[in-house]
Amino acid sequence: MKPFHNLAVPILLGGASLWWLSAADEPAAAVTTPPAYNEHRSFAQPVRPDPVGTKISANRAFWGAPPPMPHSFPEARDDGRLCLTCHARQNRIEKRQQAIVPVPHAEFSQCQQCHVPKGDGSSFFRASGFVGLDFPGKGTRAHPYAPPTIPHKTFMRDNCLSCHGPAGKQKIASPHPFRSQCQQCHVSDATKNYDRPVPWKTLDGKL
Amino acid sequence: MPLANRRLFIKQAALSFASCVMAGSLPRNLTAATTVEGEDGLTWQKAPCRFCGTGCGVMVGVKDGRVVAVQGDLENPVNKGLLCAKGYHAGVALYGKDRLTTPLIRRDGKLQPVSWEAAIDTIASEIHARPATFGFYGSGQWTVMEGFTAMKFMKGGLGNNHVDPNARLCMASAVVGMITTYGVDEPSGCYDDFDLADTVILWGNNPAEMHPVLWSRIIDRRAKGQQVEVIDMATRRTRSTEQSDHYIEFTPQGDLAIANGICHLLVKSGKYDKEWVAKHCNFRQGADADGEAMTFEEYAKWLETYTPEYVQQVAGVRPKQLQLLADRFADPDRKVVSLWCMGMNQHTRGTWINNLVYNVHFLSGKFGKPGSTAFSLTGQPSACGTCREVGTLGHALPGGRIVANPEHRQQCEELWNVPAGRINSKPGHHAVALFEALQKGDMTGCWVQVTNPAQTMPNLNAMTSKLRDRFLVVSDIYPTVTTDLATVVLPSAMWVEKNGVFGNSERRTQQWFKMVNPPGEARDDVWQVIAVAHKLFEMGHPGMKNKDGEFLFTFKDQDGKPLEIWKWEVFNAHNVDEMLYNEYRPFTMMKHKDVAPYQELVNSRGMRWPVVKNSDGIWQETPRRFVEGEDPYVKPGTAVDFYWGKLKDHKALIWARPYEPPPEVPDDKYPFWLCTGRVLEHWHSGTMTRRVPQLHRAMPKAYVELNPEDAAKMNISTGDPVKITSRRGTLTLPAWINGRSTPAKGAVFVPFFAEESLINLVTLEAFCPLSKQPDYKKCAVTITKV
Repeated sequence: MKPFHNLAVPILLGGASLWWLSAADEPAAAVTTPPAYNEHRSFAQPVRPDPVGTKISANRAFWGAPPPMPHSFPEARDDGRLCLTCHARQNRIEKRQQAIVPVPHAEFSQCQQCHVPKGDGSSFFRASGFVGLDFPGKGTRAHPYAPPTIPHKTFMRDNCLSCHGPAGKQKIASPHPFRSQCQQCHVSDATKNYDRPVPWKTLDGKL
Repeated sequence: MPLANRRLFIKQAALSFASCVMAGSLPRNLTAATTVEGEDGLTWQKAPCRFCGTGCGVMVGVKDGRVVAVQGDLENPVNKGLLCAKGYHAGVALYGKDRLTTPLIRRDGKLQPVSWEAAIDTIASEIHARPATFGFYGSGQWTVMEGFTAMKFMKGGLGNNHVDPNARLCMASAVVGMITTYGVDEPSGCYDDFDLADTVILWGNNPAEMHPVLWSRIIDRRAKGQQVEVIDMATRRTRSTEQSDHYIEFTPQGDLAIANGICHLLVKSGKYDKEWVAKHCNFRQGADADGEAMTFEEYAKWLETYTPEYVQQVAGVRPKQLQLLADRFADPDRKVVSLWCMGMNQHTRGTWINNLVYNVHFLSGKFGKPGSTAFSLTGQPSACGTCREVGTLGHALPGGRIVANPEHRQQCEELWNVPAGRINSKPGHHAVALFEALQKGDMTGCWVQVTNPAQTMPNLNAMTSKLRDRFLVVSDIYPTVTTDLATVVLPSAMWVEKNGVFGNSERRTQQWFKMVNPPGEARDDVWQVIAVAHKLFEMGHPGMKNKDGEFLFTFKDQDGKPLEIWKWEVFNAHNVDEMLYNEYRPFTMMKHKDVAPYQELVNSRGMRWPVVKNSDGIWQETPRRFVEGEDPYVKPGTAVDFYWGKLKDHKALIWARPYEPPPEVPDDKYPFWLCTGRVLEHWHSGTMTRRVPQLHRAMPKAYVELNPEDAAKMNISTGDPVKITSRRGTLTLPAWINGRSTPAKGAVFVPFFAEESLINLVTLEAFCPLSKQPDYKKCAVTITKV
């Protein structure tokens, strides 16, 4: 899937500039000036490339689609009960200092209902012309020192650090992953959570 | 960003015809729409999912005239925001690069592009020449109005009853089971019962893969600290088994004995609900749909055959396991839900086993109470809404009417405004008979819409091998093995490329509006039928006139001028779906299946019928049918009222239906049981889901599952090519051992989604004599390592 190519962005690391690109990118397409998206990163954090072959969102049909499982099960067993052995919230950091994505929606336990095996990344039964919805972009902020709002729905995204923690993509990583009460500062946006049952919905546009 | 762009608003658009033209042909929602506008031209609109009978609500994201995303609809009470892998990717299924975009006609052996006019003309001429031997084969993927249009065209127009759906292969046994048990089709309970049950019993059912969202609804209760016990009765270990508390493996067809065995233990121990049975049940014996009366004492004596020892002998279930099941039903405080789908329906005694499971729930009084019901799941998105409620079956008419009943014919003729005597009294062919007649040449042609019989009929060599020689019209969205056999191929609009209404398993009718244009010249199936009907009208076919001499599908504008909806531009500018729905709705009231007014559906996430206006003037849905306080048609003071009871005494029937071995049992020559079915990633014959790269990659090919012990004996490992042969056909597939599921010893399983590996060359066409539904779950095969 191609739509996310242009999202490769530079990361600043302790004053030295490093370019981390998503694997499939043409290097020439690299951004020359750091995008505003990352400007608020006031201090350094451990940076690593996305681990090979386990990129969270690669291969998704569109932003918001459940990502396919990027790896096979141990011993090739097709057993969804194994998922939470590694992906439960409390098992966030694995031995080799590599992070494992914690499940963002612990209340749902049938992992394989939505997350299917990734399989051979290139194969088609018949070619598809589908172009998926792109990433949601940035939230809004009232002024440069204000915490940005959450730019997407929060349904099934209860654990922000699933994507924005050390296991997620660097370009959307939190600069302060040690702070766990995200929604204390970053508020969700009712216009993004439009279908979450809310009492003010009946205001009919007078938000 | 300007606030106005980001603002949430519900659009109540009364669009004028002019603005509709300006926006191309979109949208058709000329009355009102519930659309949420997001940023940058992205809009979200509700629809039911395109795939299974669960009927999840989805929100479809549309940008620049294309579907770009799908998410679960949080407001829909079916799925509460959750979807499965197929549902999330439903929008991707629209964009396979090989979509059919122009009509095709076979010339010199090859399908060649033609104009719509030429295609319509060819079809109408053929039907005009041979109207009595032309059939119509649809499916539970038809929208309600597509099925209704085909029915009116065939039964109310041509006077030809040869209409049957793919749903015959899917839930006919459930239909006849319910009609013989309580006199009317469709379940009493609803999904809310799944949230309340203490025990859920799966009767040959694998909802973890086939109805994943409902399965989550049950299993995820555990994450909330609730106790829910699941007992999996099956012939193979599946993903559902993994989450179950008990696994009870039985010999194929042994379910008949198990159900009677439970009843035997309940009656023998006296732990049955005597009051409930006395108040709500009669007893009946016999093999057919009518049977003969019997007393409770006679029934109790009849049950004495089904001792735990006998059940063990024929079903392979240990007495302790049978006792465990009986204990769950005997416990008066326990709420029990039984679930089933193809395992019980695709069964040569499908009607009987449906009857028997109701017996268990009736004897234990576990019926019509919150958390206790016997619930038949459906496989197709509108098997209930279209095939069962519209009655797109050879013997049926809309609204629970049947062609053999003169009064019913008269009612339908009046509602359709066609002359008396137009509807033929002789039932049309059921699916298997229709394809047998096509094979023999007794039927000369057939129009197939939204299904793929050349892949999904059983014993394909005997069912579809001569279709190429008949006049076969196929309306579809992609090339399939059935379009390969067609004389005429019509490109169809799919799902949110048209307006539609689906009815799901829990009697919920859900409506959606067209959101994007179909590709190329693809057009709605409803329009296709109306266009052919009008061509026949022009040719002078008498059946295409109503009682007043007007065209059969006459709808008028505000000035009383007929709308020329057989013209695509006119059809596309009007909500013909709503007009047809309004014509259809009175039919549903004849059997207390009152569907909601169209506008109520527009403004809701579906409503469960009967939908009746209450004393406050509010249209109210019915969660549980036949239950006092929920169903407005129940007589006050009865608690449960089977108001369509077969004997007209407001009671249901407990049937004495015996165990009977299946028609083909493994022997020395064909020593293995073959079972076929679906997988989570693919839906039906895979034509849509295989064109979703993410789903195809997850499950790219068919396979044969073997029991590890059998495989070891034959020295077969995963990936080895294995030849499966029955008396009817043969197929070679790679073996998968300890993969997705594990069949019982002596059994193999093959999924049917792959068009390059047609397992239905091997299956058996034997069917239930009452429901005419074939058994895809058991036949005898031999297995050899190639």
